[in-house]
Amino acid sequence: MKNNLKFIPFIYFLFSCYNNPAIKSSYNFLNVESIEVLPVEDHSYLHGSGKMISNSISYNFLKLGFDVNQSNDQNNFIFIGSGNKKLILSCIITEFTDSELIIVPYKYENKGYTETVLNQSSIDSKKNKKDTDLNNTASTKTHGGSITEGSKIEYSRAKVGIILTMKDKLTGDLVWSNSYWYSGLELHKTTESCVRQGINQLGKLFN
Amino acid sequence: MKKLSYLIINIFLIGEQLDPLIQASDAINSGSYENALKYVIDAQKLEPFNPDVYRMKALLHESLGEQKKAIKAWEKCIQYSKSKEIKSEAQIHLKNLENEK
Repeated sequence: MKNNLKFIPFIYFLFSCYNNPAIKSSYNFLNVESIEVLPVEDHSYLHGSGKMISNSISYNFLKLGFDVNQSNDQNNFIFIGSGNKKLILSCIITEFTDSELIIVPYKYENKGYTETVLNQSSIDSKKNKKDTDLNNTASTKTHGGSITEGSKIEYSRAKVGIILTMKDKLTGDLVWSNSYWYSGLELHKTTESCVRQGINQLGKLFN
Repeated sequence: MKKLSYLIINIFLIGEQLDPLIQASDAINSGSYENALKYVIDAQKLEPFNPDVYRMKALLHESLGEQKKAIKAWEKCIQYSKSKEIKSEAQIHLKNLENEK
């Protein structure tokens, strides 16, 4: 039992690291001057998806307090500090859809019903035609209802996935890389949340 | 003797109703998220341990900008789900929502 307990911190460690980026540990990120963001190619699902991701990258860097320059038509530049190293950031869109089908099995509830039948009969008396005897009978049945397994329902949602990779411009060394994905009901918000995860993590390197 | 028989009342007080999950998915697909959320809350009463219901609820809260409620729904989703994929999705959302706070 004690041996099993020893593994618990290790499992927690693995769980906390599952989304950690790959980093070149010897690289000095505090000596970086700027990051050049390469244009992002469109995903086959949507023309313009590359531009959406590219703009979101710039927006998120700006939100973190970095200066962003878009004077070059092709590439954006993020100014990090007063160091002498230059980095190149590239992004590949791995998933970009607003129509991923989610299937949910559901239980079907029949809440039951109450049925009341009223029978009314009249008997005409021959002796006194004015008098009429009325017989009324009522019967009520209650059907209890039931919960049974039903079919499946479908709804569509958005899903965006990206791989961010950063390399040193001079040496070409890969210094940082990670992948991210996010889901949501709207493509725009999902894109924004997906990119924000990556840029927030990336921004911590330079603090 | 003359007999008259009448079938007078045949009332179906509560009949079969459309499942709230079906209504919720229809509302999501038409972009009516506030209505969808109402139906999902009804579905939650019917299936309080269904992680898919909580996932749907969490996504709706996120779309409506209700972060705290989304966090609660994702936590419930993790609690009741046995799927690694759904749990992983919930963890990603929780991490993102915590950062947004």
